[in-house]
Amino acid sequence: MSIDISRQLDKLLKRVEKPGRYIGGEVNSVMKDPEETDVNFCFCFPDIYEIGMSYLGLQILYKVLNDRPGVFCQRAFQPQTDMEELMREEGMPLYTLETKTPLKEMDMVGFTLQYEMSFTTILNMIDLAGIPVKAADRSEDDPLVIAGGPCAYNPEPLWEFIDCFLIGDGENLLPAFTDLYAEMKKSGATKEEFLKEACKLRGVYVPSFYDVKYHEDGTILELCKLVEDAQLPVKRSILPSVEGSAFPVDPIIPMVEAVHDRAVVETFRGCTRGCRFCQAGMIYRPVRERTREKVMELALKQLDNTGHEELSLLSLSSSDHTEFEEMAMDLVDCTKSRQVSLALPSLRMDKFAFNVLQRIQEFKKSGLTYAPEAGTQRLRDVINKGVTENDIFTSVRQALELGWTHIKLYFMIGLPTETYEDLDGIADIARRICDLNYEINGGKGGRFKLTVSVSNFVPKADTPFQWEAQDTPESFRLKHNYLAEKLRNKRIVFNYHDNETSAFEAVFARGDRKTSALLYEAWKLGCKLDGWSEHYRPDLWEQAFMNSGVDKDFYTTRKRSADEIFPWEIVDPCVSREFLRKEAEKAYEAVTTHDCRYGCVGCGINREVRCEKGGIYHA
Amino acid sequence: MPRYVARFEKGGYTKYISHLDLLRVFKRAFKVMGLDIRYSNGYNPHPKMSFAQPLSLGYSSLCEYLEFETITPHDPESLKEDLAKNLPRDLAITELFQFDSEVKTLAAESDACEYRIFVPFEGTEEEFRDLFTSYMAQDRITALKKMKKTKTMEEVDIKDKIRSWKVSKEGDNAVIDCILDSGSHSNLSPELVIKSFLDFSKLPLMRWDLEVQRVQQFFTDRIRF
Ligand code: SF4
Repeated sequence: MSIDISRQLDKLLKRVEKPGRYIGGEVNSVMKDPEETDVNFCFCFPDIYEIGMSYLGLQILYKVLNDRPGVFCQRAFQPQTDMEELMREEGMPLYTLETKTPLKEMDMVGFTLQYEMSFTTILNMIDLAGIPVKAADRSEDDPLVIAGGPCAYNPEPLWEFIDCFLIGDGENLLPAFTDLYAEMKKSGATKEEFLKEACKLRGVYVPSFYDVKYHEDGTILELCKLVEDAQLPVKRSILPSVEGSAFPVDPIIPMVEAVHDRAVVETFRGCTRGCRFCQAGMIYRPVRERTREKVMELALKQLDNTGHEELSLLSLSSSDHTEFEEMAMDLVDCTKSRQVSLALPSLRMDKFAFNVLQRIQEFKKSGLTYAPEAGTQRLRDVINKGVTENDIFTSVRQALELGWTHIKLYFMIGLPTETYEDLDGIADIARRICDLNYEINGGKGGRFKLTVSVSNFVPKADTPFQWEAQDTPESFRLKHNYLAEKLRNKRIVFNYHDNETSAFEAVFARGDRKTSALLYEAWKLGCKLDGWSEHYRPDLWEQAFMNSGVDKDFYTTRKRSADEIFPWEIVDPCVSREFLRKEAEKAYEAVTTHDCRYGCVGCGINREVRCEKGGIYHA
Repeated sequence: MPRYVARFEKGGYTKYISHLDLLRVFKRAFKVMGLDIRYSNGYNPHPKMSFAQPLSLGYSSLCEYLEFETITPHDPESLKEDLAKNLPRDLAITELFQFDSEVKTLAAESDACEYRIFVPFEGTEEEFRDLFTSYMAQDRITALKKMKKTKTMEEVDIKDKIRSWKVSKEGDNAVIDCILDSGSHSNLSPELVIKSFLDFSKLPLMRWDLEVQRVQQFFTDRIRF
């Protein structure tokens, strides 16, 4: 620990709001002697403490790394602006919460990439740590800056700033990576020498080992590698099974309140539904389940160890677990007896779900959430969202009959092939739900409220819609106005997202190496914590586009040709491009593809790993 | 009802944990221990546990008291061990004992607290003593205090509320050891002493240059630990 830092820190912490988030020392946080460990690692979350500590992935990797005697994993978060200002004023670098060591003294700092709008914050944290922001400017003395997480599937916007990306499931890859590092550090290898070895590991992408050649129109001519051992493409690392994989049953318990202070159990990874807009549904394939017994064991241990008062399941679609009903009933019983509240997110609203929700009285707290995503059957078929009108109204009717008073609907607008008829469809569903309420609850309609939330569609890499154009901000604006008009009703609350953020998100979601200049400019101008409306500065972003010369439309509103080479194809999600293309073509015909639990639909992942749930549906 | 008092230190960086968060930390620890904390009756039951005196954010302490009630009796020694295991490492339980008393709450019996105020000071101990002596020699020692009821700032004389003091020098700091009134009858926050002393002494210091530590808490005669 650095004495200097702690003395300085004392003066800073007396002047900032909620100093408790900058101190570490929580129950279950790990303390080791950095002098005694081979690899000093800092896990960095590019958002504030309260957000980062609610993220399960941090707790998993913290455990995975600290379970190894030779590795010490510490943590750092983006400080709130009052703290950052003071740190910069006083010349205090970003430090680890555990030992208050400057990040600069670490062997590695690793960022998790959860959302595109956190990218400027990553640059900011690197800079606040006193580490050169661009990888090319770093020396042997600087730590290795690595990154992983869902946004690493298109790593290119960050290629200048990150030394090395780890792609895919981290539970096995990260320890293999740090083991190799420890071994090579002992033999005195340079960072370059280490990366040349590391790039042979499946899932490791070192951007400086590759070059990208472009056509005159700015599209990609060729992706090439500059180092022989580098892989092209880099296949993602896949954990064959999650049943036995490391899981933190004794997670760190924050002393200041985090956004979610609750026990979480991941019931399964992956999804078989094949919604065509959904990146998670593609990049986390195949479905890998934890058994019901394992889920129970992890839940109980965690509740015992933490005293959490809430338990939540985590997966892309709770009800799809093979043993969901039995598992849910077990969980209802055990949480009831412990006076713990149970959260079952992303439920399929069938009879069973209503039964469970009645029992846990979830509806008292939050309303019924339903995500049809699109307003007409045609468009739902286009996006392959397997929900029918009948499904929606049957559930809503049941909900109303059971006394729910708040229903929330989620839609996306700007989806491929969308017309105003589809928007009318949204309004129609909303209106019919209101009618249904009058029918059930009588003329006055009770305390009923319907929330209609609309988000702007952002085409994502590695999805069947990766070729699609995003709507222009103008078109989004017109559609919002149109809907606002159509949804004018005192029972309906209409929410929609900011148009500008979805454009920036879209640039980075499918950005190439050239977009790194935009990111750099934006950060230089002072953008950070862009996901927070109070920090988000659209004016600075506009300025950044001008300064960097990055053409927004090229990335957002341009439809890609079927044979265009994509920047993200340096990384192989192991779902085949042919499958994605076939799905895109089917989308144009509004032809659906069934959930592959009912039979493999040939996404290609089973070339790499056994699909334990493919084609085996247990109803 | 079995009633207990835990005495603990707020060390290291836990001085930056707020009163409310600290309460949550203990609640959480009791929960993990599976301790049968007693809850109040009523519409919104809350656990029967409270601190003797809240500690300002940023103060460390050698002597904090938490009182709590359980449904069944427990062995204080094993309770202490168990609790220590479930708290953040810088919250150290120094003592835990059964508390059979007629008093309603410890807080109501608070009488005075002893603090150490660390003032960065380059001069000698004598120089600092002279300075502090002349501060204390004022007829009135006035400070602005925010009034609870009216929320306005009012000038108050704090001299009589400083029960005793002595100064010394430790390294780069001058240290003021003082005992101040505490509790509902008469209360003096070290903040008012610091503010008025910095104003008086004209020392080129900001509030955040100073550290404060609570050393001891004193209670009325009705409490015998
Ligand atoms: S390989 Fe077949 S079964 Fe497995 S995820 Fe892909 S489509 Fe589904």
